[in-house]
Amino acid sequence: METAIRYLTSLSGVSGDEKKVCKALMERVLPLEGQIDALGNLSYDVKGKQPALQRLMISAHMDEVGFIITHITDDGYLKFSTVGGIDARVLPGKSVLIGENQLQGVIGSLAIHLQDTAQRKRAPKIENLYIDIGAKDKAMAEQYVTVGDYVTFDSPFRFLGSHRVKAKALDDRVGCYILSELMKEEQAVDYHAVFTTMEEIGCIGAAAAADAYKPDIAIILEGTTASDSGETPRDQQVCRLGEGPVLSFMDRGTIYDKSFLKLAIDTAKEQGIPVQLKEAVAGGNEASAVQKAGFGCSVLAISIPCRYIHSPASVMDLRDVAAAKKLVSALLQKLI
Amino acid sequence: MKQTITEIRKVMSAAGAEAATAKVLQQMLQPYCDKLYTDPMGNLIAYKKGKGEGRFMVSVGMDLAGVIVTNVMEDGTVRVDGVGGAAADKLNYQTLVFENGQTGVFYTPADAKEATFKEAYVDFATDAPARLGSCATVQTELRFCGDRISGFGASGACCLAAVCQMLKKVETPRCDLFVVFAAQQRVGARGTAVAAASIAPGECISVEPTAAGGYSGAPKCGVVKLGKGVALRLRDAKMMADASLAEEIEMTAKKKTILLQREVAAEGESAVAVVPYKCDGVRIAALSLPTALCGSAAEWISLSDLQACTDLLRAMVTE
Repeated sequence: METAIRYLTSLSGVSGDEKKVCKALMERVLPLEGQIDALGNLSYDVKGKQPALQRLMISAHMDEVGFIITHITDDGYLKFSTVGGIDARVLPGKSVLIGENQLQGVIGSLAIHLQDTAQRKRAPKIENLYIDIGAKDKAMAEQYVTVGDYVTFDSPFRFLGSHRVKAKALDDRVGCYILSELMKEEQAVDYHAVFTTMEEIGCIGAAAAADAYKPDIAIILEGTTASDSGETPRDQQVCRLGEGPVLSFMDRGTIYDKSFLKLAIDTAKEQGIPVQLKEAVAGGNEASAVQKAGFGCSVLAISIPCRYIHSPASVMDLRDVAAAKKLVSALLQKLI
Repeated sequence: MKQTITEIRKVMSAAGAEAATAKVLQQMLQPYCDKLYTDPMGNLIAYKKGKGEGRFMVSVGMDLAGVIVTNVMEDGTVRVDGVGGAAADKLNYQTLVFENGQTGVFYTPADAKEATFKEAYVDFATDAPARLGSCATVQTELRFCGDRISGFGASGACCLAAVCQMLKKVETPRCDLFVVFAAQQRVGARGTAVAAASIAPGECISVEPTAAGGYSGAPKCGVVKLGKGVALRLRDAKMMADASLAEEIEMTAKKKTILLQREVAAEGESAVAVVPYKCDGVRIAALSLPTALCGSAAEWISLSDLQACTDLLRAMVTE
């Protein structure tokens, strides 16, 4: 498991530029043959032991949050915009990789000793940050970088203790990992597997994929924010690492099907799989697009708790990942 | 009409918890439809075969503003978040009723700076708190006084009742009629969007409450007035009514001497706004039911406006 997640999180795949992740997933699920649509979604009709009663889709998104270069200054610094939701406060001093050739850079801001009291109290603004690649001027920077190049965090996969891992893009390469693992084993029923694009900028890929397939039911494999660290009171933690995958009843984009949610909870209980409910109406995922696509769809989100999500150092517990895979597999047996 | 409104209001809850409302409507409307079915979103769709060609869709929301349980505290109180435009200050010290019938009081602690969901709790008189994810809305007994109906959620129940009455009275629509009792209307018209995609209507009218003026202390500019008839919403932040359909509605109202007022809303978003994104070539318009103190426990509606709404819908569907 860790080898696959290490590899998948090492790939650059900012929204709109998921091709490396797509290629890696195609190789992972060989000999299955998938299709890539106009938006870059990679989909498979996966045969199970028998047909499902309803059209079932399982999805996970390939893209990660990151940046895109918008301008090169005369001094050779790179100005950028965020792609997806990133807290600017985590950025100064972070190492990043730019473009196809993975050029090394560092996000810079006005030095602390040059900031006045008011500036020190404020969160930095993206427009005041820049990427330093060591170029002496614009001409030199342009030899290596073009406006429109994508940028990812440079943050290698590491173990924190024996079960927890730290990496960039755990959201949602871990979902992709789970789906690809499910595809490698024969499941109880047929289903349509989709590795989607551009979730972080509005669930664009999932909306198109679901509109094309028109599922009756769908399972979304995701990462979700866990705040069970520091001094956060328990009622504000949302979910906790190591307590199993997270099932959502509502978030900012979706009110989930109550009967499907109950089926997942009952299945987990029956199989002795730990699960937890998301204790907040926060965030969202591509369930919002899938639910409304076609003629409507019952949706279920199964998410892996993730600390410091959308940062260079997201943290997950691999036991939650294993439990999520087991839960989906068990759930498919209930859809016969 | 009053009985229908009361019956509907009793079972209404927050977005995502419309099953009980759908069940009551289903029982109520079964004899008046050629087909009555639910879709994966939880919409209840009533179909009535028409004389001519084409498809006419009417959409009305089944959900109310409410809350959803996000945390169960050790002392048995629960924390909640708002659903469908609920405002914590309007819920403060109100009794909430949950899907299983359990009741609790919404409160913010005395030292809270303002009434927000972050600060609020729901306290229960029993030892069994509500479960994570369960929904609630304000428990209320509607008050009927002269031309007025008052109580939390009265406007939502009235809109549903107006559409039900229309459906009961229409014998043969001019074309195939699809009435969508929509789920999750107050959280972005999700039910209407999905239903429109499957029905693919040529025309669609939504029926929704709107904030009204015409009473002491009410906002003075740009609002419809209570007791001046149903409102034809021509435009809001996300919707522009089809000019030809709007004209037909106005002409029909004139012909039938139904009291109609025009509405142009700077804010807000009619549910019907999502329909053109789901189907091609659909003509849309919205009918608004003027509601004083909209969204509060004291909101009130004029019965004559409600009757105008029913009559106009009926005329639009049949002629």
